[in-house]
Amino acid sequence: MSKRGVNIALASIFLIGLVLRLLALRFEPAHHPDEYFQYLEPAWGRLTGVSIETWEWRSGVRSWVLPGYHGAWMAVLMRLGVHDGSTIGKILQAHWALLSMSLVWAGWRGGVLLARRLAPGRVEDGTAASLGEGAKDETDRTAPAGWQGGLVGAFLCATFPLQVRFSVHTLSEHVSILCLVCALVLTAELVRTSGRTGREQRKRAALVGLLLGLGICLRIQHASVPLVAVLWLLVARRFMPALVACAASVLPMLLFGLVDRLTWGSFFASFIAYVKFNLVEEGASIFGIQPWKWYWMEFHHRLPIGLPILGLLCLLGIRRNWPFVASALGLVALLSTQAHKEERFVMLFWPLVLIAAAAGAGGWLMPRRHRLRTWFVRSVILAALGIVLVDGARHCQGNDFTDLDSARYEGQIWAGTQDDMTGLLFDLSLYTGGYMWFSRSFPQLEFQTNLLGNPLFSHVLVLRNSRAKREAEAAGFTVVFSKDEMVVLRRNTRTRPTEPRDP
Amino acid sequence: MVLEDVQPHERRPRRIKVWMLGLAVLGGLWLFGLVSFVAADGHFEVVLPRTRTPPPEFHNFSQWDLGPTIRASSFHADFGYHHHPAFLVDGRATPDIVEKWMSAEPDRHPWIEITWREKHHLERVVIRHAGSVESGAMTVHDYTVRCLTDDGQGPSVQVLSNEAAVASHDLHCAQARGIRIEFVPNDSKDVVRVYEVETWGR
Repeated sequence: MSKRGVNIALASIFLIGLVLRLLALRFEPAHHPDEYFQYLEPAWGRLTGVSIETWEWRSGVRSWVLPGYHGAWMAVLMRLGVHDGSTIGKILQAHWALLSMSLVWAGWRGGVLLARRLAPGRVEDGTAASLGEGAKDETDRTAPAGWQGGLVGAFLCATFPLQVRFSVHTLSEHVSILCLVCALVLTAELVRTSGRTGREQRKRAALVGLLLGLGICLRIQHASVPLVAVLWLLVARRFMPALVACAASVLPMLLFGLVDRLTWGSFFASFIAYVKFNLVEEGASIFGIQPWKWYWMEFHHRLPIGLPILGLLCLLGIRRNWPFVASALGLVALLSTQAHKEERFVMLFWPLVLIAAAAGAGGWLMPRRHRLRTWFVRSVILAALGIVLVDGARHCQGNDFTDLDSARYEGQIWAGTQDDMTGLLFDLSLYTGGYMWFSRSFPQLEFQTNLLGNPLFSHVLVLRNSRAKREAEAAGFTVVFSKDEMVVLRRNTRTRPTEPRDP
Repeated sequence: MVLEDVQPHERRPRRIKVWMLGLAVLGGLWLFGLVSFVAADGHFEVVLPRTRTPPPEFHNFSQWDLGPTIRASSFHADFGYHHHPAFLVDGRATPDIVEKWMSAEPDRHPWIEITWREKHHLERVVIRHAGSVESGAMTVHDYTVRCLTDDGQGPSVQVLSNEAAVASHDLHCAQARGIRIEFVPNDSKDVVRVYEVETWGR
């Protein structure tokens, strides 16, 4: 294929990825309450003075870096006249969805680099001239060697359903994934040194270090990737880039430490508190304990047919994609030692495995001596990849929190827009969008029958067939909004209780 | 669009590409937002809608349905124990323990302000402290009640060693716009809990 043809195919993949992320933005429900209460709500509270404060923020186990990043954008949007919290939230989700397109680039670049090194008939010196058929210099009119793996990697990263779903969530895992996957791909470029001067290498190594440092600060549990990246550089005898990368990775750590000093009073205060609570004391166990093999059961649940296919493709290219496979397996091994497990913790597994599998597939998609065999192998590989995507699409629905109902969020947003709103009672406070989605400063509390007597509470958001709804109706509320299983009831103004007092 | 800045000692002209320019603009915007975010003081304010016309006689003009504005230095905003400042004016005679204002733990200088839509002749301020519903030990002892006028701060009452669960303070203030109460927590780790603030006058 010509370079132009590959570019057109790549542009089409980017477009498909973008469209899928737009669809996710429209239809994807909340994945986890933390995406609001840990990373958006604190920033909203600082700007508006009203927010739900979770125990993590009272105990100081969260860093202000990510809420600060969101908060800066919120402040800009408010200056531009956008004051509706749910709109700001959607814009921030769209921004992360756009940034997640960097994974498509990572899929392309990683696929090209790894598949190129798996090309049939390749000699080990790593120069362009020694590569297999079609492996000419990238400035030429022919496509870059390994483009098959690149296109497969880009396509998988653009369309893998679980990854598309996850791309719109404002979770620290997502940001860390973007940093670490791109860093690992850039490490692959450092390992392949042909055509790079020492200065360019050092610049690239510094970028790798910054991304690795940022990724690990955002999510310490993702430590397997930085470890493997440095190991990879050492094994490839790239000692100077390894040194530069390690030195550069200290900078984000210092930034996080400094932010902790300014916000929590001492350097690395939130980091130490987080590690102590989650990793040392296993405090997260109070949120549930799962067996060690839980993550593998989850992978099997998400990809019952496709997982062995991905595994086989990874094995086919294990000579070159081992750092990606080792990072993914290291992540699962590390997380499996923790008693409390959630699917979002392990989402980094998927892009690593997809890129590794793309390299394996790309190596087999390259032309071989026998034309018939070439086309047969290509058909099998493409069919296998098709099965992976279809299987992924069939099993991508649902998440750890079954009570996360998008209708509840919509009901809360609707209630917040009402002129006569002075207070909201809802059934499950954890599964709402806090004060940001509400966009009003009036009180919001979990439903209690006696609170119906407080005249401030003008609206109630509960399940359609619930005791709370019946009690609200008995207290003079009537249904004014309904969506799926959720209803919003409004107090009849004539039934507002008044309790006059003498001075 | 390509802007070229030719350097005499360089072989190739340095190019500023559109995407670089776009990134620089976004970075500048973000930094501006960051400064605004850091500078925000995060104090609370809510304006309640008016649903009742104020009576001409002696009355509590901080009642929620007369549409007061409430400001607070902070509030305790847990999921379950959500002690919102609007509860200060809800007029509940027998409130639940959740229906009170409680300052946030890190707030060492808690204050509240209640302002009204019109000027009033203030005569008395009644504060229903924690002791009116919970343990008397939770009642805050030291605080200052100030009258707010268009010219700034009017007369004030300084309260020391208060033990009353429902404290009534005479505070005569003509042309009053509102009141501000500045509390001193009972000890360095304590918070302030108040169920209701009433401002009586005409």
